[in-house]
Amino acid sequence: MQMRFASVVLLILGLQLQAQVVHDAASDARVLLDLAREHRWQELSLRARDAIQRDPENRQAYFWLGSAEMETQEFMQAVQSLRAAQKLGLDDAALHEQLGLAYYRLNQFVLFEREMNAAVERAPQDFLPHYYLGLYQLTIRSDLGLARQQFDAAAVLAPADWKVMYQQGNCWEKEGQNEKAREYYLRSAAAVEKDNAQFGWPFQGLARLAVDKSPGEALECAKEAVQRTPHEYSNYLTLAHAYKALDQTDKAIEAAKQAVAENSSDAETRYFLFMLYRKSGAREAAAQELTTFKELQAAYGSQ
Amino acid sequence: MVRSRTWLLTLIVLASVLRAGAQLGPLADPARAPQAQTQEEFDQYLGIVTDTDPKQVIQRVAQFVHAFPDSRLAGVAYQYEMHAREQTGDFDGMLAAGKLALAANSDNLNTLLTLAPAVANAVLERKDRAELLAEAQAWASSALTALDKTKAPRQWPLEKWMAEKKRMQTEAHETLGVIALDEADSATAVREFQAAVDLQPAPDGARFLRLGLALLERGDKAAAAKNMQRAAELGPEPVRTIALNQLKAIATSSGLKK
Repeated sequence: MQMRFASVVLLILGLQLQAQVVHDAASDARVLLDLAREHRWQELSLRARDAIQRDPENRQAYFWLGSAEMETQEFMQAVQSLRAAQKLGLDDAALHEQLGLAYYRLNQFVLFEREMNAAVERAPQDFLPHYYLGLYQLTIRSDLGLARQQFDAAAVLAPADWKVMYQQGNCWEKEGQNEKAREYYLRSAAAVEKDNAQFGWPFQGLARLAVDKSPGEALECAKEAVQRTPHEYSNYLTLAHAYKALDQTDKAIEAAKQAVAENSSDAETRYFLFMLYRKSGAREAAAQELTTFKELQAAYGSQ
Repeated sequence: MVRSRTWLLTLIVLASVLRAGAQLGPLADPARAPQAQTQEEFDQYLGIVTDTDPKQVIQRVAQFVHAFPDSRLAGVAYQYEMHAREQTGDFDGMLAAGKLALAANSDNLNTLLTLAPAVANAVLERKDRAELLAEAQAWASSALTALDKTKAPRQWPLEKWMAEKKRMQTEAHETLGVIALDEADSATAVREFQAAVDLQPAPDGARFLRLGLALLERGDKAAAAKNMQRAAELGPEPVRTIALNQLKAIATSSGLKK
């Protein structure tokens, strides 16, 4: 009798404990998701660790921990956390996508491609894996054909995405197809304006394409690019080119100096600034920029 | 005489050895990064990289190369083993692991600039001293050649790259100076130590002390005294003590001659 009573108590306690764990897991998942949505990465990391300590098999907590570590640039730790989630059975597109990005940041491209393809398989309607694969083909492999294939696939799934449209235009521009590039940049710029997004790239692209034939238009586009993405040095460089095309050397120098302030290691900007100084008759400043340009070329190479 | 001076240098050089090129190397360059072929391979590799216990690192590297004998990450794994062996005071193990790292990537600056000074400073009593010093000399020279060819990582500002490059060049020149002094080649030692001093915007006392010792070895007491004086001014304390003793010795010997 006593044995039976003890068994019943244990059973009730066990059920209560199980219910508590289920309740905790559901509550944890909600809190972690909210923290991620609010971009509170440090807190997300702490709460995820806490959840893992209470339940070492909480794969969602590992996923969120890995996601927080991605945001805090701890890529090795991110891979380890995301892999822990994967080993505990998490196998959705978000996991593969995030893990793929972590591999990418560690220059592990074989694994990156594999994870992105796994993400595509699990969520064929998601455009982002295609977008990331496109960026990889464009920036790491320099394969414009394969890059465009991926961006086109992304565009089918997300026809209004301005990032994708911009990259499609970027591929055409790199292939010398400026009319097609312009078409995509215009569509991307319209979508950016519609969403009032902080994304200056299509405007920079339009400015680049217009600078020789229509410098006034280029200037307006470059200004728009600067306004939308004010910390991107290449926007200021494009602005400087537009001013130069309009024969406004002083303003061009100011814009180029702003580009240097945002990125002091870009050799192209330094050379352009050298040319501008030379044109304006500032010999000493020109000589200084030329020296820096040569140092940058020696340090980083010509690419 | 030369050996006792080198012993003095040994203390100082070891104290100033820095982990050169820790952030450089193939993994930092997207175009050259060795690729893991499986997730398990990369998991184990990350286990090596993130472990802070040198004994565990050594064990992990052994497991890694056993499990993935053809891994393209093996060279970097051996580099971690080299540092772990160095931390545990296992000189021969460090040497062996370093050589394996170099077999995978002969331009590995981190490995070249760990092995060269460590060997130059630690082989005085060994039977294979001459061979090891020759290897150290070759590694330091290879580091200088590799540094000339190495491009800065794109994400580094120019100033950071220039400072790091000069620091690594200094390390290599100092090693070559120590070896030259050991071989009683004071002219080369002076040249190498002078290069090390010239590369640094604010050389520390130890660098002037080494240059002073080499100048003394060459018989140039005036120049030696000048550098000893700078070493005494800059310190730190052990350097200051040696420099002041040397200055006294120079003054005494000059007085005797007079």
